[in-house]
Amino acid sequence: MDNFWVEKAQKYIQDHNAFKGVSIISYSETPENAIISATVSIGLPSKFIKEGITDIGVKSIEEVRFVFPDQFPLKAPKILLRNDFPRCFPHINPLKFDVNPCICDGDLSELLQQSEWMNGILNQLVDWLEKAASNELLNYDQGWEPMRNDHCSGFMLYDLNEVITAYNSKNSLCLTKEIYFEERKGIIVTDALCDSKKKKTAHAVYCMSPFIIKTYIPNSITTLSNLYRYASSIEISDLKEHVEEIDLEHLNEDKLFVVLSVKRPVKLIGSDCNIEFLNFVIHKSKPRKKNKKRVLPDCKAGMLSHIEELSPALLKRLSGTETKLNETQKIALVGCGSLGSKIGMNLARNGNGPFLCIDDDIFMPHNNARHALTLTWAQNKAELLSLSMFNTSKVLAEAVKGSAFSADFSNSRLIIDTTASLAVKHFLMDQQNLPPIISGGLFGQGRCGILFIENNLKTSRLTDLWAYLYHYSLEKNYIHDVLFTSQRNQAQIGQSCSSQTLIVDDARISLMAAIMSLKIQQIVEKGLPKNGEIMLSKYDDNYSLITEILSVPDSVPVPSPKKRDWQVFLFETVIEQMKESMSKKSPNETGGVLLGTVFLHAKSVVVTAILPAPPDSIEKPYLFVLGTEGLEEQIKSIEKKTNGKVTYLGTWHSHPHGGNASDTDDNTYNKLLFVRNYEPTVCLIVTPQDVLQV
Amino acid sequence: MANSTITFFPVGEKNGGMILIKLNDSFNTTIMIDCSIGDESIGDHCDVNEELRYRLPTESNKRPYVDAFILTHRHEDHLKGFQKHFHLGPLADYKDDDDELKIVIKELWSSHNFWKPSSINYKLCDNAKEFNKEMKRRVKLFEDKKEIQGVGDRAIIIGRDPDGRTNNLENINYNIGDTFTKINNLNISSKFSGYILSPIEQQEDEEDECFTDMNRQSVVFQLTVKQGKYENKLFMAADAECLVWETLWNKHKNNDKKLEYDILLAPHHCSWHSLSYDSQTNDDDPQLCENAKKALSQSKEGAFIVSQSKVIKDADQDPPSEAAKDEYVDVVGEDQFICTNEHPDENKPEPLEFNLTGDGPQKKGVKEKSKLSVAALSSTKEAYPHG
Repeated sequence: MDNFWVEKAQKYIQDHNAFKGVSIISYSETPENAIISATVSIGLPSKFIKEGITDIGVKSIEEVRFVFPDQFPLKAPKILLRNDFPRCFPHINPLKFDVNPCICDGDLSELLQQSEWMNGILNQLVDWLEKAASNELLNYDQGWEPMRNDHCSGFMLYDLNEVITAYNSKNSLCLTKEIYFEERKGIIVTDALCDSKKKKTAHAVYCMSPFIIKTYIPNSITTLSNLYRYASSIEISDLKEHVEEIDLEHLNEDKLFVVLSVKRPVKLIGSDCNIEFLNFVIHKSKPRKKNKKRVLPDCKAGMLSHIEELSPALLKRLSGTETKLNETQKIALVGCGSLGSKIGMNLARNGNGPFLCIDDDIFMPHNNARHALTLTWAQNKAELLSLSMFNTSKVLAEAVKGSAFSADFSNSRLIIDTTASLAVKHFLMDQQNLPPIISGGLFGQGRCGILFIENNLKTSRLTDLWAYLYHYSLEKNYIHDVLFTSQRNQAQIGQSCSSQTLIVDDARISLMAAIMSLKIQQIVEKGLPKNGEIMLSKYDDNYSLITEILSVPDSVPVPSPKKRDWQVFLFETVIEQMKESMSKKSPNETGGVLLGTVFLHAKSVVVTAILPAPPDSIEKPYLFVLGTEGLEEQIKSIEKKTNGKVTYLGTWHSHPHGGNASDTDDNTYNKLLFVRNYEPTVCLIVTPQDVLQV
Repeated sequence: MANSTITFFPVGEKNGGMILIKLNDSFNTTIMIDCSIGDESIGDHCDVNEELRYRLPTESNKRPYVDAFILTHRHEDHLKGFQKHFHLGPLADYKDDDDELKIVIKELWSSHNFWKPSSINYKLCDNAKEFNKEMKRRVKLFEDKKEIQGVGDRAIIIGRDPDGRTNNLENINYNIGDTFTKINNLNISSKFSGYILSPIEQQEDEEDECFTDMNRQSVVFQLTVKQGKYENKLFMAADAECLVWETLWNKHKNNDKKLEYDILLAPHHCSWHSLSYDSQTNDDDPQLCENAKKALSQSKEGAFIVSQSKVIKDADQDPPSEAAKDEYVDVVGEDQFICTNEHPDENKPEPLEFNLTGDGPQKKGVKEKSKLSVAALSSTKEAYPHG
């Protein structure tokens, strides 16, 4: 025992304005404690000032003893009040001889570590006593304080909502249920908490109070007869009948469980429910006759803590998310590698689901470097992930061991692609009628994470998002660097984390996965954005992640009078630019070069920008001739910067007076097609009304 | 549910008035009566501004606010720091980037005296001029738009203006003898009501100079804060003096419920002049006015009297007056008479706070601060030479 600290504590008590008559320090040997007693003045409500004691029995001067443990000040002193201090408060231990109030919400020892040190505890004690004096300890704003259980005999696992539903559906205030239990070194556990080889059968009786019980009755239950008495005090008068009946039916069982469900005036603290569940185990008495076990009032009873069964609702509550529960449409995870597994587990831990996990790959030793799962073996990744997700959240996760190409997405509400596979990307771009897609990947050796998010109406598709980003890279060097620099001569965009050549640590992938998960969680809660989005996250090597979200304008398909192999899409912003140019030059025609990206597999061309007409162009009413001055250099530079992803697609010109393609227009188109060796070619005509293809 | 509270703040060397009432109704209504926020800590210990702001609610945009600010009268010691700490003018001009955000007054209450300009015989301090300007701005909005204004633009006028300027302002005007249950334009009658006792009309033989005196024009009311079945009666006596109390006694002696209290704010910082027409220093045998004392003696069981004043210790000083204190102690007893600047200790005064419980007011204990931070602050009070 370090006297320095106890003496310092004594000084604090002496200096505190509410404490008087502070004693000298006395010591006890076993256990080794230092004890200081004092009196504390408490303001009483004016009605009780004259008497000096409230109607409940709190005095204006209370005696208090501080018992300092050997580990003080790492451990807080125990606070003891007089033995006849009223016990009808929720924060008082009911059993022991000394009254030991639970004066603060958290751990008193933690309170002691704050800068107020002993003053924190002394202030809190005064506050607690004041609240006791004004009968304010039960703070309905906070919720109902559950019964204090200082002597936990074990843990009982069940789903509260299931029990409440059972009361309602059976329209009864009493239920019985067979459960399992295991006695482990004197501690009782039930159902899924048991070791399956050691569990035994028992029965549980659930009884609900018929009325709302507003009074706090101290828990001093140690025997079955105490429990009967307590039950009748909360208006459950027939507990004895039910217990005896169930006992008679199951004489061989060692234990019997009682769950009292008490309706309270407000929700319990930290819960959405205004029913307090009090759980007890009855240790049945020894048999009087062979093979007979009786539940007798003198049987010992112990209180059990309730453990909420794992459920999406529990995970939702603990994650603080607004996850929608009981969804029927799945979230499809295409790719269960390092990024996919982390995002998938993040979503599962928030209570989301159900899931469809798709991957055709096998978990290999090198996957341990970055994958979310552990304790894995050479098994399909989709199977492993779905199993883990189910274990984590009890939400259905179906595994598809094959490739995404043959998967059935008809029952999915969202596709999350993390494969970084170009083939999968092209498949997803090509397929019509798929649910909205979110596609994410890591770039630049894990320095950059990019998440592509289609919009709710799918008017902003993966092709549009990629085309937009390619064009954006012309303006932003860092995008250009992560997309193109390291892979100038490679066809592949994006890096598969399963690749053994990718050197990046798990933390960096986790960082990107976490930020993507946050965004995806918001989407599953609030819905997809109105416009497509690209989320760009950059790790700055200085422990910060810089994220920007680009909102991508809608693109519209451009109709063509003739049947064409290639579908042409045009950003609305480009149409606006063309129309502005047209009206500026009207009545002359004007035009320029179309820039954008070609998606071969999807047979799509996305026009992302226009280049103004070169200075040698001719602009007259009913004639526009596209010049060439400086054009080649410009196109070369753009092609070089984007590794050919942003390219010359064709031309546009205006018909300020309206009208379809002229013969000249048709001839130009065919000539251009020939010159371009029949590569995708687009010629657009802009009129005051619309945009059409030649 | 946490109880409603009333807090009396300690005051500076020249006395002062500042009271905060926080109700536990569904709107968590906050009412402030007067303000006295100086730049110095009280007794080198209590930073009143910090203590006030710690208790004020804030909007989601972080702006601190009071639902109603009620000014009892226009003396500097009841308006100290008003310009500095409260937002004046339309809310559109609010500066969210100030280092210390100004307090928003949702509804501003004043006696009709805000129309009265400063003059040689009626000298207004700068804070009072600014208060009047703000009051006029709000009243003009009501006059122009002919409807009760929204948050930050609303005014309530107490008492009828003798020059008729409150005519046509009935919707924002209460008369003496009225009971009000609306704060911030919300009816909270199940929790709260107020009864306006003064400024009473000019009495016969009362000279104009006396009648128009700022203290004489103090707004006096009895507030009722309900908790369960109990009605906590708070008698806010402002700086009214003897004539007002004698008159109120004569007016209400047959219905003393209008004067009863659980907590009385001792009028005019425990001034002798609230209990006597005589001067303590100039008259040889100053006489107590029994009627005034009766008006201030309608205490309920266990009632408190609070003197919001500097420490009461000098027989010659007034206010606060020791003789007046003796009279109040006579009513409620030594333990129930509390001087703000002596609470809990004159060397380290702290705000005096009461819970308004279902069994009457309960004086709250004072939380001791961290000894280290007290030490840190005391270290900054003087220069320490080093060789």
